[in-house]
Amino acid sequence: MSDLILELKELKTQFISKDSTVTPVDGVSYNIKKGEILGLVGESGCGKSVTALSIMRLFRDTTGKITGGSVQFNGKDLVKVSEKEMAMIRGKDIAMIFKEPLTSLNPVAKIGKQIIEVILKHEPVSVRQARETAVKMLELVGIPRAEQVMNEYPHQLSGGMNQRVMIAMGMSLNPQVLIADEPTTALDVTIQAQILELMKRINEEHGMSILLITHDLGVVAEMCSRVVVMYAGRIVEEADAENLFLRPRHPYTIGLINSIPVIGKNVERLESIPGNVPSLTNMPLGCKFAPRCSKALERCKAEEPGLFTVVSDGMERKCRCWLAAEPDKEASYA
Amino acid sequence: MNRNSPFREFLRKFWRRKTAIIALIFILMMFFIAVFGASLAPYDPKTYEYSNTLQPPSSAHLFGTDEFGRDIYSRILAGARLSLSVSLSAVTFSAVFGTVLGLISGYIGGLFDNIVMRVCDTMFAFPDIILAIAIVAILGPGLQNVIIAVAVFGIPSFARIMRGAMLALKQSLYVEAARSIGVKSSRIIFVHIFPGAFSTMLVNYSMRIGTAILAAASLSFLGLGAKPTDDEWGAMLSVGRNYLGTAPHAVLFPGLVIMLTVLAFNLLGDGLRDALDPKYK
Amino acid sequence: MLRYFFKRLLQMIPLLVVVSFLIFMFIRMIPGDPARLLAGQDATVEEIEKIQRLYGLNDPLFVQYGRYIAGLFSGDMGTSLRTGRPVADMLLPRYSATFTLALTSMGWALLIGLTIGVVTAVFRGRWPDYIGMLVAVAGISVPGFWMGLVLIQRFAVEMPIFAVTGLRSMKDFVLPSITLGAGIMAMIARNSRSEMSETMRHDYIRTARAKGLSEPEVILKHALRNSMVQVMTIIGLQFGFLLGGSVVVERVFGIAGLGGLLVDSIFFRDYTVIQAELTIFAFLFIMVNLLVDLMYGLLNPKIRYGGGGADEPEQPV
Repeated sequence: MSDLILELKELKTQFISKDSTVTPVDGVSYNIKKGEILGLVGESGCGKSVTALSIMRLFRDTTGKITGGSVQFNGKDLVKVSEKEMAMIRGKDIAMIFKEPLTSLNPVAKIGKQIIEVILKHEPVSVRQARETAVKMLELVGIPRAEQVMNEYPHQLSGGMNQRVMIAMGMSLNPQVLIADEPTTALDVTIQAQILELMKRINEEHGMSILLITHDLGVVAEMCSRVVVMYAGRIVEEADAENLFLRPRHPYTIGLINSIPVIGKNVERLESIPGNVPSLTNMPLGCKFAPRCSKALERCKAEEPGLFTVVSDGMERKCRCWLAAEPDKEASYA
Repeated sequence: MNRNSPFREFLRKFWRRKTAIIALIFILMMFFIAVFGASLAPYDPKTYEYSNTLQPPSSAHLFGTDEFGRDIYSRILAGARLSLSVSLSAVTFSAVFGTVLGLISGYIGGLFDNIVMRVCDTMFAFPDIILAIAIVAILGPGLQNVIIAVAVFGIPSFARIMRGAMLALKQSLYVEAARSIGVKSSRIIFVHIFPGAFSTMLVNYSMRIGTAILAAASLSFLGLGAKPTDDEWGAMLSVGRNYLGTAPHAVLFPGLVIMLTVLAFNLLGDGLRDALDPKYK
Repeated sequence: MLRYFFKRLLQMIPLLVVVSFLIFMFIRMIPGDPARLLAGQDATVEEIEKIQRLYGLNDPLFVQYGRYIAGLFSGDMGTSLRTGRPVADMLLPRYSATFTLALTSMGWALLIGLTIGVVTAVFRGRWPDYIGMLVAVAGISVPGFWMGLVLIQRFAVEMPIFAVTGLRSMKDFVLPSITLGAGIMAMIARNSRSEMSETMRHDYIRTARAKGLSEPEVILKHALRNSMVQVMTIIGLQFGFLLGGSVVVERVFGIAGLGGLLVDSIFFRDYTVIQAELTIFAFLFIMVNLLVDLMYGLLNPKIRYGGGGADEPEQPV
């Protein structure tokens, strides 16, 4: 299919040290379509960030390693291309922004220099041209007095401004995909909304695909057309956003949605999912969610379900749950 | 939690540092020599043999002979006792004194703390060896005074570590918790604060011994420490220097032993630091 | 920046006062009556008293201290008790020898030390790392005087490339500065390696990689400068180590510098000279550290702008 930009197939990433091997991403497959915002949701430690790092292959200085699967991008398998080729793709075709904008920028280099650097790295332009592009980008992301900011340092800007700088930097080569790893988690709520709006605008005006990684379902509801839910290194549910929010199928997704506070709805206490995410070194045998699942059957504890494709009301979704595979049980938890 | 487990963890990490293990074995060997060195020596280090002076290394004299025909290998073995005991006693003195000072200073705070830290700053403003030379200048040359000098300039580093640990731990939760359930001050210090700072102290102790050996040898070399006739590594070098052109071995071997010993203490310190620092895996 | 500079300058004053006072008191603790020493073995009581009056040795301590401080400000450091010459005249020619030696040593130590630090950081856990770190730990373990002697034996006696002693040309600085710089080189290498490893863990290094920079670019353009900020402060402390080491190295190479003079003066209880030398050493050390602080400010924009530290509130845009 030509409208697929990035296609992950059975991606497996492991951190291997002398004493232990953990697998934070275990057989993950999903794809990103041209011009869409795909949400990747899950609790911290579920492997969503590692998935992003795997796409970019940013594992130097860690014990992380992609041990299986593929990442198809422009007809190439990013898992197999040389480090040199990968470096040419990073920043140019796939850009990434991170959770902590302040620490993600070099504290001793001027903002302008940091943006110009990425342009010069990938485009055969003069420093002056690169500078003009950088100023244009800063203006595009809504930074007032862009010319001045070029000569300032990250610590002189607010967190929201720094995240705008990161976005400007990521966009300056007009990449096909922007990976945003919890871009608003470290920001104030009002600033969050501004940054999200900016990303949405960029997506609409430039047709840039965005992979938005977050633990905040509210953000997903506002931004994404499609959602992938991850739990303990695996995808547990994938569906169009509307479909997912209105008719969640996986007990974990249901739990996540129920734990969002709703203004105006008077509740005794917020619902939460009992228990914790299983530790990577001590995974349950069957369904990874079974120990926390109120609907768990004997089968769930013994045997891990596959990612079933389910069609309901004419809409397709994927769900990793035995209950989803047996339509007759549907009534019991709907 | 098992009380032993942090220690086991430390042993496991330390065991992986092969250089530190080798260094530890070398140091233990040196201690053995320091205790039994004189009886291990093939020759009496004090016997002059004028017919056999400044001979290069041979099968009879492994490291050659010095200007009086004494066997250099035997003198080095005998010298281990003096060289090690000087540095060990000096550093132990600094550690004890510095620890007490740092503890009191950090615990009391206020003016006393201020004065102690100003004095430590001032001592840091002097190069170690110059401070030691100045102290020997007051007390007069001699090994005993070298110990005092080396001990004195080691105090600030221990005091600072202990004070820093004290201040950090004073505010940390588990000490606050202990205080809130009415644990006595002295008990807080010895049960909670001291073990917390122990690892840093241990590393500093090992590293400091290396520095102390070098400082003591330097002072002896300048003629401010051991007498030229003493079996002390620095003093042997100082005398051997006069025969550099004709008998380089008289300089080479004592220096090599000093370097290897200091190296061993530094490697041990490195290994301890890596094994004790939670940042390293 | 200017405010920062003056703040640091003001902070130095109490330290200098304390240091100079301690040195002064220290010197009075040296046993032996300098007047008697000066007058000679069989001097009469009158002669000794005359000398005491001449040098003001009987005045109250604070008067002597005041005279010493006043003298320092006018460039008068007293008269040598041993030679009878003005101390300043004795120190001046030796000063340049010691200072040049310290600078050349620091120069090469910085160059090699940083190179080793960067290379070991890049090749962490592989053989260039192990070799580099072994060289570094050997460097801090080698006794300076022994290394000097071995170098003389090799390169001045066996292969007469360099002079055995003395300083006549720049070439004569080679062996002494290698000897003096070895320890510093090793410390810089160790520190810059650990600083580099620390820096490489930061988020902005990941950003630099995500921009598509190659590993050498990441290190040279992003990691090195940030590590340098920390290594700078260490260099300041090690300057003291250099001054201390110069005492021994000057002995080994027969260089007429400040260090050699200090040892001689101690043997002769020439306390005006000892006092002046210790003051100069302490003053130099404090000045170098001030300089390092300023460099630190220059390298670190957080201090350069706003005059505050990391906890200063972010400025709204």
